[in-house]
Amino acid sequence: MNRTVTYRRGAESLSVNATVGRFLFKSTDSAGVTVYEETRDYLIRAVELTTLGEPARGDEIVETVGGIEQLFRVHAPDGEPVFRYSDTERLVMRIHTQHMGVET
Amino acid sequence: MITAIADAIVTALNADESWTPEFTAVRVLAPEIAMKDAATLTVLVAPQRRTIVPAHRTMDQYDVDIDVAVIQRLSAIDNATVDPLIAFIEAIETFLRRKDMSTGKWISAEHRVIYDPARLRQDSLFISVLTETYRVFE
Repeated sequence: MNRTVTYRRGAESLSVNATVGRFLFKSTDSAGVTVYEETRDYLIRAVELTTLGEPARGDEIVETVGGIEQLFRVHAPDGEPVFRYSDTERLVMRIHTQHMGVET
Repeated sequence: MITAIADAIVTALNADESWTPEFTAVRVLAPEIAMKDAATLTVLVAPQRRTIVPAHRTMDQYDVDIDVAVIQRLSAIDNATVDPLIAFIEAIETFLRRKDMSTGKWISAEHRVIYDPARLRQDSLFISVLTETYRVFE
């Protein structure tokens, strides 16, 4: 479902259209422990982020959920890329995030 | 044999009520955790390996490795936050040292991974694994 979210990096922010999804990461570390992490993903057209460029770890997305602004930080576990193109034409980016809490 | 030893470790850890912080150890088939559950201090006990060599003509020697994993997601990555967790798994090692479990005689302990620096830095996730080895003759 499409929705409008705020994408921001430092003092810069953009209002962009996004489709929300999720992704399950699985990784096994050097200790032999397997860690599962589900991220909240935002599928955003690359052209909407042109002025900021590619997503970077630590960027933030603010989305209103149930009338409350929630903060999501761009993140992927275990050194994985924080985004990937979801189509061969590189038109849409799938950006991984983790929930940080209510936006303050 | 290997599961009985792992269960005995879990029972021994959980029977001691003096642990700080408190926890409930759980035996698992393999050490794994969902990140959303890692905010709570988690202690997992998992069978890891069994080595079998002949002891003499009618008896074999089994060396059983059991992993004890301590996992917690941290709010900050600094000495003040990480040091207590290192001390905690050191306390577990001290507690298990020289204690026989079920039919297994305690042989050694190896702190295989004190913590994974990359995981700690990238995901604020402390993972420490202790491998306890027990010997059984059958």
